[in-house]
Amino acid sequence: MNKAESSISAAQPQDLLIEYDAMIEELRKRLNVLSTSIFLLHESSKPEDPKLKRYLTNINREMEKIRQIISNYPKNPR
Amino acid sequence: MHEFNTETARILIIEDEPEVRESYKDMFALFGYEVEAVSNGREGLSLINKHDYDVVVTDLNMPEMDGLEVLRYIKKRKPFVEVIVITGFATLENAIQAMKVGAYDYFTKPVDIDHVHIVLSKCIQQIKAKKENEELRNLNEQLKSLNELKDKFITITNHELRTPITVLKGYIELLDFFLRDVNNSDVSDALDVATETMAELISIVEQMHDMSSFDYGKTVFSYSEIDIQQLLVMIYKEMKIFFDQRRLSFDIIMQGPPVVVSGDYKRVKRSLRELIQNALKFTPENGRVEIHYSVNESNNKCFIRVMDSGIGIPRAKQQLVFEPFYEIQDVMNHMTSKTAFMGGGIGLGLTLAKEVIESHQGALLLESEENKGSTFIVVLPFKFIMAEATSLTQ
Repeated sequence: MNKAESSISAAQPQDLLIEYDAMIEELRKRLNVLSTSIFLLHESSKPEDPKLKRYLTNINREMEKIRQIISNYPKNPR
Repeated sequence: MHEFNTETARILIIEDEPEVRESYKDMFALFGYEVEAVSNGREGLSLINKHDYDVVVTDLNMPEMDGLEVLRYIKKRKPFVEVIVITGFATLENAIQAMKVGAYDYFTKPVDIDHVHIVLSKCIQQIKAKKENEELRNLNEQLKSLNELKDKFITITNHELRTPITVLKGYIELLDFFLRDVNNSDVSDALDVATETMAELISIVEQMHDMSSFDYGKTVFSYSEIDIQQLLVMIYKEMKIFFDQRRLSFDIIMQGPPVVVSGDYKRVKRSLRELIQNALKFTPENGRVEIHYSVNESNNKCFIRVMDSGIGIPRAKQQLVFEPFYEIQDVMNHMTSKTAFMGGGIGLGLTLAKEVIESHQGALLLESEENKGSTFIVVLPFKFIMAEATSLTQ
């Protein structure tokens, strides 16, 4: 592999966008894991405390916001 | 005999007189062009509609459809095809009229071979230049739209994602605080996964930000004087706990005087951390990781070796580890902790480390043997040797 192949700074914008695509996919995966763990947390803790319920609601709300941002992510025109 | 350079243009000749047509065909072929010839305008247009030609050379005075009609048709339907007309000296006015309609040039009968060659060469050069300009224009358009997209991604990572991720992190910490003491293993397991995944989400967004800031080689580094020994000791102290948790031996060995490197402190620190984290990740329980520091005073270079007794990297894959998103282990491990054996990560750490070190006129090298371990060697030029040794605590 020569330097250009491994170099981000030498990469074309297209390469960078391909990498962004992959990172967005990684974000999506992690978000799914987080979502599942919050669901399991909810199921196993059976929250009755209003404060805890509020925390979980807010967590789900913020995850939904991130999901929206990711789904509106512009498509790479390759 | 004339010597002609070979060209690769495709030419169509339209000429009603068979002998003249054949002589043109032979002449243009001699110049190295790909040539086809037909006897009238209708046949010519039929071929033009089926195939791509660069130049059409047509007689003006022909029965059925004259050259001027052919020219008008081509300029309307195939504006990129150049047309050269052939006319008798007595009908030069027709040739001038053809030029007004859009002909590239004209030949007068009997044609002069040198003149024909010069005109055709110029015509082909002009076509090539036009095509290159068109390609450049398209490339510029493409780059422009890609850059616009890149700007959008930067906005996403730097602004849009930052706020919900910060809020999310805050609530997950509150949950952890609230539920950590609950005696329920399902709850603590789910909390652990949520906390680790949150850290990974933050790390991905930070790495996207880092990639954006590289800006295709126009990265603005914030240079300062870095005491490399002191930086290594700081990283060592910060990371020791992770090695203790994994029951790995972790040592730092300094050989040589302390030196000062001119560099971006945060980026150099992060790069060195990435190398050490990589060693942590790929060394099994009871293994060994060592940081070796040495100096070569004769060429003003310092060397930082991060050595591990880990799984090593097969020779065939050694160059790939610096590729973005390349991970030596199974992708299923991506969901686990970044500090666990063969744990998570998205495969950008080594890419960014190499990028940063090379941006400091340094080098990042790898020596590895499968099942025996790896050594990543950072070579950095230093500015000067410090007068007194840094006090080290191991």
